[in-house]
Amino acid sequence: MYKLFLCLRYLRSKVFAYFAVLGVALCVWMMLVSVSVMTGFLNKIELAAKGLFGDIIIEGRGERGLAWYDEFIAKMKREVPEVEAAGPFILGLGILRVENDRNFRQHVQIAGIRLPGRAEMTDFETGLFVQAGNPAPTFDPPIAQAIAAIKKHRLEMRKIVQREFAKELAKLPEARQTATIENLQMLRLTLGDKSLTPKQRDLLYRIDNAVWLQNQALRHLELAQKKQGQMSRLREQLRSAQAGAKTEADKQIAADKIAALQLQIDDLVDLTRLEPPADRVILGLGIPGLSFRTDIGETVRYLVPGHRVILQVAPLGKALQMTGVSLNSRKFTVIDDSRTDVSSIDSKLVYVPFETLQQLNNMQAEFDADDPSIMLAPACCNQIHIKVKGQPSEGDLRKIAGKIQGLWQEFARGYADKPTLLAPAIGDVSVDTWRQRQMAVVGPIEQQRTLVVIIMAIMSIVAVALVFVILYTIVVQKTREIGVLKALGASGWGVAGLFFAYGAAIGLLGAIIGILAGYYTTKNINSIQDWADSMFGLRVWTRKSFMFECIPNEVDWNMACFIVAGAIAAGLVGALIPAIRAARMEPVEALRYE
Amino acid sequence: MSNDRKKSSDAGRAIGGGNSAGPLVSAVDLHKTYRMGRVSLEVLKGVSFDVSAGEFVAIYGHSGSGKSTLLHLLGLLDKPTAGTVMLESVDTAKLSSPRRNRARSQDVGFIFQFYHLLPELTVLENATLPAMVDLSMAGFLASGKSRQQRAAGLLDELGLGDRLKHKPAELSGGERQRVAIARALANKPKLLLADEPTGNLDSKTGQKIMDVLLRFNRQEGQTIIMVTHETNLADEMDRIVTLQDGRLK
Repeated sequence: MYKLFLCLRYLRSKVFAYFAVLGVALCVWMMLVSVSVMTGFLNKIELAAKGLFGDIIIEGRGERGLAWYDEFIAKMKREVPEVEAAGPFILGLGILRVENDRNFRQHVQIAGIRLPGRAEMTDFETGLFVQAGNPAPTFDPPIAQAIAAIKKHRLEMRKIVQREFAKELAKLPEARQTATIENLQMLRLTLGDKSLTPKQRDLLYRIDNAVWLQNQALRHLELAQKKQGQMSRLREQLRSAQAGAKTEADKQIAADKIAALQLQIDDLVDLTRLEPPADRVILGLGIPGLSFRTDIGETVRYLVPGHRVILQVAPLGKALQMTGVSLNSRKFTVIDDSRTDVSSIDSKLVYVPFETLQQLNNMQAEFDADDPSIMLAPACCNQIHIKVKGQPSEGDLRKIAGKIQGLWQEFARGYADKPTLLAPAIGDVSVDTWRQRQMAVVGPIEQQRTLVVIIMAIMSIVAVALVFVILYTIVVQKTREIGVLKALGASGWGVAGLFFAYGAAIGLLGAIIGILAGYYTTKNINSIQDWADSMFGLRVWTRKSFMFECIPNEVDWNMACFIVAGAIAAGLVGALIPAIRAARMEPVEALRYE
Repeated sequence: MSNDRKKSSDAGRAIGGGNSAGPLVSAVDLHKTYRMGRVSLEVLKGVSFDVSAGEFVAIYGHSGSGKSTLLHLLGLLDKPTAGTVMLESVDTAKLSSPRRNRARSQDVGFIFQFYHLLPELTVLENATLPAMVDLSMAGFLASGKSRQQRAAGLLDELGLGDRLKHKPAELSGGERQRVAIARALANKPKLLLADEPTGNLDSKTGQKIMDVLLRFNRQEGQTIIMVTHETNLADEMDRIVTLQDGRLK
């Protein structure tokens, strides 16, 4: 009983025990934060990689691609029960241009995907602007949805304006304040340029520009919406005209009417300025020049759904002429944008319908000009992305990948004798798990994490030493009291237990404080970084070097448990020698101690 | 409280039976030699004497005569080089370490010249400490309250009733020594050992402490062995054992 009682009392009254607690807390804190950030980083890579490309990726060797992919996917779904979903994927190279903008051009990677199938394999839908969270996103969402998304975005922009120009707005009469925020286009006229800081002036210019551009797209969308209404009415008339014609004469009249209606519809299609669903594009949110970011990380879009862009694709799918490449060019309507938080992807990738890119990349099937029943070359894709059921481990995935590899070889033998003259063939493929593909990134980070743990463990020796020194000092100081306790009948091990408990309590207290501090630091690590950036210009995490938009801020609780155990162990180890010293003293020796 | 304190004190003793016929404690040819590097210092050179229950015995001698060492041996705080201490006819040299600890806790109470109170603990907590050492957590939950009341009662008896919440540093020397007495008596020991309890006090305060000890001896039959080098104090006691150069005179 006295052990616990005295242990608590010593903790309360010994000021320098707080230093030991603090030392332990510091080690725990540093370890938790750094390991959490690195684990979070690894998890993010995993999520991003899986979310973007599925669990397993089949890739054909070279740019020629993979033929007979749909047949293989069907076979795989039949014969490999672990496969949940799979779909073909093309990655092309190209140049992105914006309609009516001579100056803008940006090289991009173009992903050919099938919607909504893509959403079954990846988390593609979660980061969409218009169709966020829609489990079945398409290249043809309702126009009203797109308009709503832009209007919502406009509200967010208003908040930015209200925050960044709070002082300037406050100077205006109240009615004008509201009017200014309501009508962002009036912003520059109302606020004027003179009293603003260069940074504010820049922001004002950008927002003004964004509003102007967004309004253009909005007009297109609203027009399209209106025309779509008209169009569906005309189509209705067309149908009834066709159905109503019974006699020859009727049909003649109807035919004229139908022709006239068709002409009107075609005119309207032109007027809507929206390309058909096959020619729609989903942009990555982060392509330089198409959006900008405020200091605290909000994104403001210049280009929104409704705008038209031009993609010039370098057709890598067929044997190129040795002397040059002629680009395949096509107009697309932006219909959505996608954010994955992996900045290397968001700043580079645009998504178009799979079959469209197949054509632009010269990967479509080719038939003999004279006899269309003779296939010269099958259609191809670059990769097949596979989602596996459940939460498989890396080992499981590798096994499944091996199975798929075997299946492919069997499958390829069946197609080896197909007459494909221009044959991008059916040849060798690589089947990799997401982890194998990301190894170049994941490997070094895992090693770094191990290194950090080792460094922290070495630093924790300092904490152990601190506990040791402090406990030793206390034991020496309390030698006579130990003698008294023994004179009162306390056993050697009892007194040792007291100091063990004391050491463990220091470890536990330090761990609790460290974990709490670590939790809050990790949770708020992005604001801390922003603060450090604004105060001292210190920015450790840059988007370029770390791929992600922000620092991972999830606490690694598994690690936290280990750290708590380690801290208590450190306290016990620190207490070991002092406790033994206390235990072995004869009472009278201790009492006589000066 | 006097009589029932005596009676109930036999329960759970480490040293058994309570042979009332023989002496309560006997020193049997005690030797103690200290080694300090190459020099060995023989402090006790064969000391034998008996103390019966209810006696108040003074161990008298000049400083360095070995009287404190003798007291430590009697209180099981140290082991003799040769000879043994018999506690109620039980040879303490043959006790296992846990039984020795138990004997220290149950049979012997010790008062030190320099009080040796725990500075972090209040007066009441210091006096309850022997009970805490004696009892496990569960035991303390069960009977801690009554033990605490006993400690409080003792302190009250010693005139410290209004000082229970004070820390030792806030007390005078005489008060501290009275707390130490309460602590020594907390587990109702058969034998109270006092190592110059007045040595650090002025004569007036020292006399008060002496009166307290005398009162416990006279009224409650508490057996006390007290080391002193002051003849006037020794004269008040039943018997004086004089040590000179490690031997009885």
